[in-house]
Amino acid sequence: MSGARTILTAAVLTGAAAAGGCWQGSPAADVGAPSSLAVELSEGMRRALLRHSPLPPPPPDPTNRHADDPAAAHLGRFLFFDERLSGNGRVSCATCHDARHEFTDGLTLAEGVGTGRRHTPSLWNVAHHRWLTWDGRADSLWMQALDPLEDPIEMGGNRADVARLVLEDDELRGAYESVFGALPGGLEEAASSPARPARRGEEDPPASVARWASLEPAQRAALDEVFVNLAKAIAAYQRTLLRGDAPFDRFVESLRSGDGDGLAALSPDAQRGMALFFGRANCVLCHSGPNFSDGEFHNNALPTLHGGEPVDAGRYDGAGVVKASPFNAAGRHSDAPDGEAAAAIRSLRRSSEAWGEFRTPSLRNLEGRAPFMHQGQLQDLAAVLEFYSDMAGTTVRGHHQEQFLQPLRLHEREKADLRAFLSALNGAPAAPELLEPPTSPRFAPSEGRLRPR
Amino acid sequence: MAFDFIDRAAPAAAFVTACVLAPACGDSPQVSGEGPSMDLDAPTHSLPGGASFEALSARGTFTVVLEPEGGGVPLNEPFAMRVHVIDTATGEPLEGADAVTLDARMPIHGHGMLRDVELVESEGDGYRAEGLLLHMVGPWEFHVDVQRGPLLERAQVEYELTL
Repeated sequence: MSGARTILTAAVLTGAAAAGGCWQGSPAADVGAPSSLAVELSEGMRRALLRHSPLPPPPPDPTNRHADDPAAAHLGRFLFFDERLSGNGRVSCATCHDARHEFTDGLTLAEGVGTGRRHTPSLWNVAHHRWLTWDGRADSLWMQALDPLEDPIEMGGNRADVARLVLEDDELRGAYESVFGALPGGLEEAASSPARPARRGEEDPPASVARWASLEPAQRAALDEVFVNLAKAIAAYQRTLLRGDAPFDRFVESLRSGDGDGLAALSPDAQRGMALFFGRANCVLCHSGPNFSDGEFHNNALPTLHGGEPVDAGRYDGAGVVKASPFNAAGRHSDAPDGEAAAAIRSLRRSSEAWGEFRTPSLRNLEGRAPFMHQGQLQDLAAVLEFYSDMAGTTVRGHHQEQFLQPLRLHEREKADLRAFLSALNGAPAAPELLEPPTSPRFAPSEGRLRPR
Repeated sequence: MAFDFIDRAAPAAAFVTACVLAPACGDSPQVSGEGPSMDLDAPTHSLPGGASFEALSARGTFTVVLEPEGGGVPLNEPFAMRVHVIDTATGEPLEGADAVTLDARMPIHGHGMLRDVELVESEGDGYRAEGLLLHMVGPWEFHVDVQRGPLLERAQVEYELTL
């Protein structure tokens, strides 16, 4: 493929010269550009592209010693789909994070036991995020899995009922003990009736809150231990929710290797969209890195779902919650309370400038994930691009928001090009068994580790 | 020795400067939007080992020298820096500081790091700043504030983080 490499190199050099210091690509109309390269790539653009692919395996999670245990992931997959964990017995994690809908639900706002105030984020590649949920109120997947179980709007359960389920279901208990060891002593009495701590700002708490307050510290500790371990199993499953390479990855690999064959993985439309994405449209400012998210929080002055000024404090609340929680990376339930994640939580600052900020979503695997944004207020990708093009309906508030944002004034062709590029970020399908519950929570080693195809 | 962090708003002048400095590329026939675009082909600040950048404080009392460990500032990854505060008059490490703090701001976006940076003093070797993380490309400012008695003085180091 030396010929292809030569042509590509020439095209890159031509692009670098033509770009004159600007970082977006431009249409490759010059003689000498290979037909599969529709835009000229400056050296800076090429360097940027190489930094965005491939998507490496998720970072390890030392706060969860079972994070990469196949038996824990198997149990977690069983639990993820188990409606018995909810207060009404009809809601599971998969109710909102529906595998048939790319681990979201296709709804504007989440529908669990009640209607949530935010849109359900997809779980594809979720293990790549350093903060979880729209406002980052959790710093690990297992910490995130705890809250919905007891949230009256989401699953409406409580940790005593969850523990009792493990006690009374022999198969579930066996699976639990094979991963985590024997259930803690005194659990039977502690789990004999519903119990959970009061939730922040909760008015008129149920009887389970009063019972929790009446429990001995050792009883609470036993319930917490089981609760956390189940969440760590669910987290181990969620770490496997990864998709394979996307056309963009094949394109970048071709750039890296000099083998021009893979350049055709991106259509000319998609390549022009890529040039916009990394160039004038500035999408890469927030959607940076191989997961196309900086993992941090921004306020893009989005219109609200029901009109009027936003009332959701977003990251401002989330930072306070995660810092104060006993379930964060620095807490007693963490398996690495002195690790990097613990240091990050200790140094986390809750600042008013975070008011109204929400986490940057990954742009990989967008297909089937509409609607978009934290309230699901933009119904499809076209609406998202329309917003960034004219920024109609932006909200103005007395708090921080991205001052850098300005209307992009995109032409229709540019919008189509960006959509084509975003489509090229859809990865190969995951293993089908990831998308449904196992018949038993017990892990058979022959089932092997769940990984994308 | 660890110092508490003090957050301060970025000066308005810095925002104006950053806006002016941001290059306005991309006036090709295919594009028509408003606003600046980042320059991917700008010189990278990937510093060779031992390289540093520095700035004089507002009143000229001291110079701050920042040395990112590992030779450069990574994008969206935790990193540490050596921080030297040099007395302009003597050329020696500044004496008598009651507190030294470090923050990094991004005036063009109106935000900065949402982390408190811990500065640990090393005998005769300035300070080590841990827990820094710059999550976006673009113009950043490192603010080093030195408190001595009733006086607080800042040195502000501008830094363009590129992809």
